[in-house]
Amino acid sequence: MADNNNINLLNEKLKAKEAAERAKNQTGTDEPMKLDDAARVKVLSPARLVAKRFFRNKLAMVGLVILIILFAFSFLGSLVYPYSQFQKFTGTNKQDREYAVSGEPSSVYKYVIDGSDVSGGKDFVDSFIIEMEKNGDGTTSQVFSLGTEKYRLTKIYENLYTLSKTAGYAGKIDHLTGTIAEGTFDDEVAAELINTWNSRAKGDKDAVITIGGIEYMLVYGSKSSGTKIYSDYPEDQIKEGLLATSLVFDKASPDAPDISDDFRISALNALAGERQFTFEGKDYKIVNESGEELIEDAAGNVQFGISKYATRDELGQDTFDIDFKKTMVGIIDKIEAEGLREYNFTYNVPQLNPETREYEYDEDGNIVLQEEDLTVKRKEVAGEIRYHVQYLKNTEVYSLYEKPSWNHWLGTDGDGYDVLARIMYGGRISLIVGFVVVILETILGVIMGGIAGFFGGWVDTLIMRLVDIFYCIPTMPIMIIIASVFDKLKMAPYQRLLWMMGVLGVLGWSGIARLVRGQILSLREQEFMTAAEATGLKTGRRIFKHLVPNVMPQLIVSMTMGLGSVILMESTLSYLGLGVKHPYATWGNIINSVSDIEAMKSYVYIWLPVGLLISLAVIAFNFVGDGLRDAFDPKMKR
Amino acid sequence: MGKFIVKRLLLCVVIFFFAMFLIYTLIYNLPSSYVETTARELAAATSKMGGKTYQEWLEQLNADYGMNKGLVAGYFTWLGKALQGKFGDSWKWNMPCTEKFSKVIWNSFILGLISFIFEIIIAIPLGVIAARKQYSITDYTVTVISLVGISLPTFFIATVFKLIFAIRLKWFDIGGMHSRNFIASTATGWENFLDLAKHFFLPALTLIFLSIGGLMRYTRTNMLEVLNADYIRTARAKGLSESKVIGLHAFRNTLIPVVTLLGGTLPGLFSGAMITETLFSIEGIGYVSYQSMVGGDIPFTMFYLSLMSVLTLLGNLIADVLYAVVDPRVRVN
Repeated sequence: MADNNNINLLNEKLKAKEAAERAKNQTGTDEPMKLDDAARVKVLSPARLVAKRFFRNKLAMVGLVILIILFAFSFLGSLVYPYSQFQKFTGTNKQDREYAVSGEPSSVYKYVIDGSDVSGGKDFVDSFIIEMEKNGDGTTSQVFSLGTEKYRLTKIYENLYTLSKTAGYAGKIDHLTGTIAEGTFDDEVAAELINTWNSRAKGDKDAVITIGGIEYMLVYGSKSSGTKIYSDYPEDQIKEGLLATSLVFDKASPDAPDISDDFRISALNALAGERQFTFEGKDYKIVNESGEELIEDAAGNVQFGISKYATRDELGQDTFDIDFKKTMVGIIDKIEAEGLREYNFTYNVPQLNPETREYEYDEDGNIVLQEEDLTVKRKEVAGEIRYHVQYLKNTEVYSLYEKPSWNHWLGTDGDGYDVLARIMYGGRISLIVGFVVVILETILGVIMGGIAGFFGGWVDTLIMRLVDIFYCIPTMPIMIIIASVFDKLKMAPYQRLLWMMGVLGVLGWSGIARLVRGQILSLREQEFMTAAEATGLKTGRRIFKHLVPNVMPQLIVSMTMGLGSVILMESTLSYLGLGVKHPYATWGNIINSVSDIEAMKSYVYIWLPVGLLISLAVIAFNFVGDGLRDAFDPKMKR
Repeated sequence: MGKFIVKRLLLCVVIFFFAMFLIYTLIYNLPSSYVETTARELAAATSKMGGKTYQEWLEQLNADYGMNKGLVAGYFTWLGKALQGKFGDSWKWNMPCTEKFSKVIWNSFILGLISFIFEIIIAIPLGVIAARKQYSITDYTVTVISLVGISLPTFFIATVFKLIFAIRLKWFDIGGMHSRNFIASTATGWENFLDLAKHFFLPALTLIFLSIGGLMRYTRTNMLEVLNADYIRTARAKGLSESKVIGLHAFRNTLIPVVTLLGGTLPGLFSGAMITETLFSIEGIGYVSYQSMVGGDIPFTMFYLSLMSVLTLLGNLIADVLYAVVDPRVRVN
């Protein structure tokens, strides 16, 4: 009862005091607070104290803001940003596209007439033509000797020749019997031939005699083979053996079927003669229209064209219609007549699908035509004149190393990727690598340091010597060796990334182990540890639940600083081309892709922002780490 | 003192033994395809010039490195040879590793020494000033510069320097040891020196830029600690001038940890600056060993790694010994 009374008394007093204060506030008479008033001291929890000290540190705040921005940029930026890291960009570029090439054929076409034998002379037709045309005296017929055979080349039309065999094998004299063994000859001729043969001297190889205007040639041979007789053929036995021409057959339209050689022979013969012919029961006639000879059927439809110039597309295929070829003949004649080097004209060009190489058709089934400005360029290469028809075509190309623009704020890189997108995703990998490695280091370091510090004695000595050993192994060279081994093994980029993080973690734990051990050595002597031991806690629990949390401040500081140095290490390795590999982007390998001098000069807009980002990230981590250190231990100003 | 040094030395030997064993294990366990591919490539590249065949390279490696023996036996083979200074013939440079080392080490040393000297000249005064005016603008500037300095990637700052000084201003060459029109046979010693100095400028600048941060922070921290000490208050209390307090009492005490730190970095002058030398094509030990490591030159890599380990251990040893020597308050136990 007495207690209750007391409490009631106290409560009433408090109420009275509150009421008095309220009244004071309302009246506005503000009495200054007493110096020893308890309300003056605001008690903060240790964590809040640290936070307060941290947030007061300007540098740390700058670092924190930079870090928040960097993380948002790397991890959230891609949500807003329209491009992905593997998106290749293409642009159109006006490029000179070859549309067609015209020119005289570089060799003549030869059409062998069925049943004739001109095999010996066939291969020499070109040289015969050149030789005959070189005379320049308008000869239209000339006989060429080819060993024992003779061939006659006759010009029957402009650029159209026939080749006939005019002399050849006629018979044989048998050496044993001394008589004509093969072939039929008039008696006088035979006698004369035998005479000649009999009067041959030793070492003679052949003899030529003319009997009655006909030339005979004896080629002396051995006893077994006999002497062969060659003679001119009588004029009535000479047949046209081959048509040779530099004229080109043009299809009337790209879809027209190919023509047989027989048709060509008929057409060419008709061209030189009556300009009309019948082939397989159909009548055709030949009409000349502005330089191009057109073969029309009975209904007047153009079936084929014959022209001096072959006009073919860039692949050498005959894909043009006859109108274009006719136009080209006209243009080439004009160019030659006026001595031009270039000629411009417009033409309705059928649109060719670049992939299927087929014409594009509209809904009505007509070929899509588009008027294009075409340029004919006369080029002479190795004595052959070619007329190249070109037009400016919008061509789709990868936009490599494009300058910064509104579409690509930092331009595009050497693969046509958007640099800003690459930097975003690269930041992700760089930051993740940093975290993974630091966490790995810390786990290893805490375990080793914790065990060493807690147990002391020989365990401590052993672990600390291990720390010394790892401390003395240089990280960078080891990473370079391992990376060059990966290179030689051609390891997949992802696997390589994992390995790299693992190795970095294993090499980096010694510093943290030292720190943890040092702290724990002093902590374990304190009363709370004695208390923990007295309560009978297990060793593992004592280490990791009671000791390690007390090392947390130092751990957090060293992890933050460590993040910066791991990012630095990773970017240096990637810069050297030994870290994370293409196609994965990291900040380091983005710079690496423009590391040679020329690229460095020209693509400042690629490497400068990335370099700044790396620096900013590391600086920010160091600022924050520094701020945290100051906040955790205000006495230890570093 | 002598006992302490002997004890530390012995410990260093033990650590070296095991560290090298770890490194040897790594090299020993390199995929055999890697070693063979490298040897084959090497044989193919040098065969026309009368080089060794694939088999000879491997045999030589086995002889020097005991790769064909067991891990432990092989390690002792290598260690035995290495302790005699026989590190074998470098695969990439086609000469004994030690010979290549003695050819290039002075480039590294000079580069390191220049930046070391400038680092001290710049960083220590700045650190002292920052500590004296704690929380002033100067202090913040120094802190920011030092944090930025230790944060910048070497390749980035080197590239920026190249862009500014070599490409835009055209004051220096982008890399290399000599100008294009430099003819070694006709140049006088002075010309040679000038040309070298011109080419060492940018790498040295890079190294200085990157290293002053750490030393500056270290000096500042230690100076702050000293300035808060009782004896400084005493010095002030007895009416000493500020310059005497700072210059005589505070600075000399700050020097103790700083000298210790610097002493520890002295052996580092011989380890070269791998990234900087590579970026500027300075033929120092860093550049040469980078090329060796990338090219799979196992003998030179082993040599370089042993060198690095020895230098690191030596650095720690010197730091420890210096600490005991410089500061009489530290009692060695």
